[in-house]
Amino acid sequence: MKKQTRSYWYNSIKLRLMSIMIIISIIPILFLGFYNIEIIKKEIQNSIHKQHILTASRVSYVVSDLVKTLQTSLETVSLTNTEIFDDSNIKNKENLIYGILKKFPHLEEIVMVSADGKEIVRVSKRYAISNEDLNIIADNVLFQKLKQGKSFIGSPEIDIDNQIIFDLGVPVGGINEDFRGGFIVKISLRQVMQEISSVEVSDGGYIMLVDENGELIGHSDYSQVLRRQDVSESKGVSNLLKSKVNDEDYLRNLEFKSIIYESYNGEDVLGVYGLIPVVGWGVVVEQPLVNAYSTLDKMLFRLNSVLFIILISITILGIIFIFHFIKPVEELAKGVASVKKGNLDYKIPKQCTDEIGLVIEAFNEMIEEIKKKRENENLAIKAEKKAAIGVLAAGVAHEINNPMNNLGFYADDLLERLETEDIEQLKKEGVFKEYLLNIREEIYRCTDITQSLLNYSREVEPQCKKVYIPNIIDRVMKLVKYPISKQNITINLKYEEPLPYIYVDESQLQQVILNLVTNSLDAMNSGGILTICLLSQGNSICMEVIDTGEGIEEGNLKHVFDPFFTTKPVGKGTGLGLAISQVIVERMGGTISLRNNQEIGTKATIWLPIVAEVIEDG
Amino acid sequence: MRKKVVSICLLIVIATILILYYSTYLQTNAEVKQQKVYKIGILTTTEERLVKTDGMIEGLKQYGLSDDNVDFIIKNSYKDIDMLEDLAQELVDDEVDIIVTTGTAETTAAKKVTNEKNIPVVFIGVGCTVELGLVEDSISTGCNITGVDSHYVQLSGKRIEFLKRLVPSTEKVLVLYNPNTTPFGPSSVFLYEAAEKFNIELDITPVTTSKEVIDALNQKSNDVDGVMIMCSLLFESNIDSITEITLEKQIPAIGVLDRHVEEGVLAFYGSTSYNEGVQASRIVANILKGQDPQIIPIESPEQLELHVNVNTAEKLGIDIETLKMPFVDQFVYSEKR
Repeated sequence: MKKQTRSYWYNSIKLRLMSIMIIISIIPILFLGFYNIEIIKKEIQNSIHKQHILTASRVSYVVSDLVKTLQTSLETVSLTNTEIFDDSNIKNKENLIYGILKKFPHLEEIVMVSADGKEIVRVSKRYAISNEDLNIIADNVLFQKLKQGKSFIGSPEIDIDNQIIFDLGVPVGGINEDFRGGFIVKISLRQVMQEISSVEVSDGGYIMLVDENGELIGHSDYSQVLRRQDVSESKGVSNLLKSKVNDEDYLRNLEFKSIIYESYNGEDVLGVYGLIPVVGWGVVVEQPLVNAYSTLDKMLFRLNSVLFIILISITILGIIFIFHFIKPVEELAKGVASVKKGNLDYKIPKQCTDEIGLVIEAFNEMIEEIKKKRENENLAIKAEKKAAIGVLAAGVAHEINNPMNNLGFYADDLLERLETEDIEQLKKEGVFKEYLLNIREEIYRCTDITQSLLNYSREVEPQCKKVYIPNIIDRVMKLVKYPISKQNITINLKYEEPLPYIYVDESQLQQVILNLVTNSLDAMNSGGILTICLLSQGNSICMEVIDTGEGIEEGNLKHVFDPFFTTKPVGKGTGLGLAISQVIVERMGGTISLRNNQEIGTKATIWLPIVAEVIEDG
Repeated sequence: MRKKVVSICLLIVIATILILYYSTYLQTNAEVKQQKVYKIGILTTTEERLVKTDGMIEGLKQYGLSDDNVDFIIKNSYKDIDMLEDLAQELVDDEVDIIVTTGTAETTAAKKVTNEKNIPVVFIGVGCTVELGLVEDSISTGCNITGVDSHYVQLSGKRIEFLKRLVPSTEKVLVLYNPNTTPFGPSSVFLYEAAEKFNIELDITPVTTSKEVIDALNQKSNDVDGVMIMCSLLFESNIDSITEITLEKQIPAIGVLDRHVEEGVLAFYGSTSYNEGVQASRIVANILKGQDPQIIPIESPEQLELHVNVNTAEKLGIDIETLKMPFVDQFVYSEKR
């Protein structure tokens, strides 16, 4: 028997095509998208780090260059003005100093000191200074440094004008006897920071300058310096102090480090820090992570949105293509399903001229052929049925003959008693009623036989309905009652209640069973046993028709289902019975086989499916 | 059928491109919209003082604040001090983010109307803010007011020095000040110290009206050989008379505003109004970014300049040799109107 295959949604070509589409288009796009996003993310991070390092190095350069330039300028001034440290012509010296003040806007005050530690000239930007303000600083530690030919940089401090000021001492000449004097200048870091502020820091970022003790001496927001904001909590600052201790040559160190840490204000920042050569201070550039990655976040959002829109578009396009591509295949499947249900008039509309179009065309032609074949088979079934009716007619006539004889007997006997006996007495004894009941029974018997034949011979279009096989067998037995009794054949019907119903055309099933039973009866001329077994197994019913006849020669077994093949004498069979039975059983979705029984006779086996609807109905 | 499918696919592709383009456009627009437009109210008493805010507007550009994202609302009382409070109130009603003032009177008016409104006030070139009671302390102002101090009193000593340097014969200087705007407190020590250092006698005269200014100049001009005017709207309003009298009496004068020199005063030392504005722009930008004005210290002027009017010097018979005066930052060639 053919195995029924159920189709599941996940087996559909549509779904498989969509899966393939996802695999070959969407997954690579997603992969490439995410890969590119990662690359961009790293690039941006590197770019931010580089930008901050650039800012820090520029600040470092500005500060160290400022000090170096000042040193060089002051040395140059002293070299070009040989008498600069004399006591003579103070006015000219003041003019010279004013010139320097004008040239360097971050200078707040300049003091010229002679070799013996006497202040020769002092000029301030903000305060009036007269000769009375000039001091002797020979004992000053810083002057001693100058005398040894060493420059010095003082600690930055806040002055009364809220400015961060630091001293820079520049010696002129050489050591001891060669020492001619020196300059001590006060430099405003606010002016330096003003210059530094022009260095563009990324969104939300700021620059800090810390002195050798980690105290804030410069900030993009100068007010923090004036408030003496404690920035030592910032890891950038603490690391700077450590590196200064560890690195002996820190004054020449221009290496900048970049890390993520929590800053003094509690914010997570992307920080870059490094030591400033010459002055020994530190520069720290910090940018809150929120700001640093805001551009990246925005870009990622945009990229993801674009990716999402592209994916949606690809999916919609893919679905349209798949539906368009699959539509003829679905039409084909629909046609197959319709034909499977027996609708051979179904024609699939031809939509394209591609390979699927060719398949549809071939399918339509094939259905046309099947339809013709089916019509021929139907004609053969009808013909065979008529032939069977012919055969049955004789048996039926014999079967009717007996009740007819009985009817005659009852009629004759009653007439005779009417003539010989008193009518009133007969009536009183109920003889009339008894005779009439017997007559009615015989008439019913005749009607039953003729009705069975009429039912079998009625030509109706095949129509499937719920059928209970034992009922069909019972009807067949009525039709072959005469040959059974004539040939002295014992009928053995075996089945266990309850048997499931099957969903077939009962007339055609009756034709198949009649055919098998007739064949068995033909094979048992001199008596025998005809056994019909019914057995429900899984979703099928098995019917075995076993006789104890002469059997079939092994060589003929393979031809028994061939049309017009018969081993019966000429005139007794058409040779179409088994062939047509096979067609009918196969149309019902079942199988039929015939083989010699182990000991004697033959065994015909039919498997018929119990369809889902019947199973559900129980 | 096939044409239909191709058309639908084309439509989808076009729709996708349009959606992508439109979303980018929307996003850009959203970003533009997201960018807040600030309202900066400017309160001033004279057209001339707007030079300070010109500097501030220019300075704000380096902080990304320009006409694109800032609305400047200027309220000018045109020398009418009584109007200032109403004008300040109008700025408050306009819900400005910050009020920028250009002088003492403007700052006082702004302080009155913003006391309970918590609108930051940034002043440009106002002196003696602690002494006048505008703020509690120059490091932590303790209120919604901060700004750039002109330090005109603190720099008065240096002005005396420069006056002496320009006119070495100077021995007695008339110092005119308006006691309503200049409380001669602790900062006047610079003035006295400088006078002592350079052997100059000071005649410090308070004046509160134009008449008093003119009278003081006329009456004392024969007794002094130099005039120094302090910062006040009174002197700004009477600068023509001051220049006229000092020239007539052949007395060199030194002022506190760069504009004074352009008007014919011999010299000025301090921060120019424009530079004060540029300096104040940093404070304004920080406040707009969310910084609390209470913790922003009052800044002293950064860039100090000495301007000398060459024409006035000639009229006064002062020998100006530009090459021999490296301490002068700018020589102004401007005739008195």
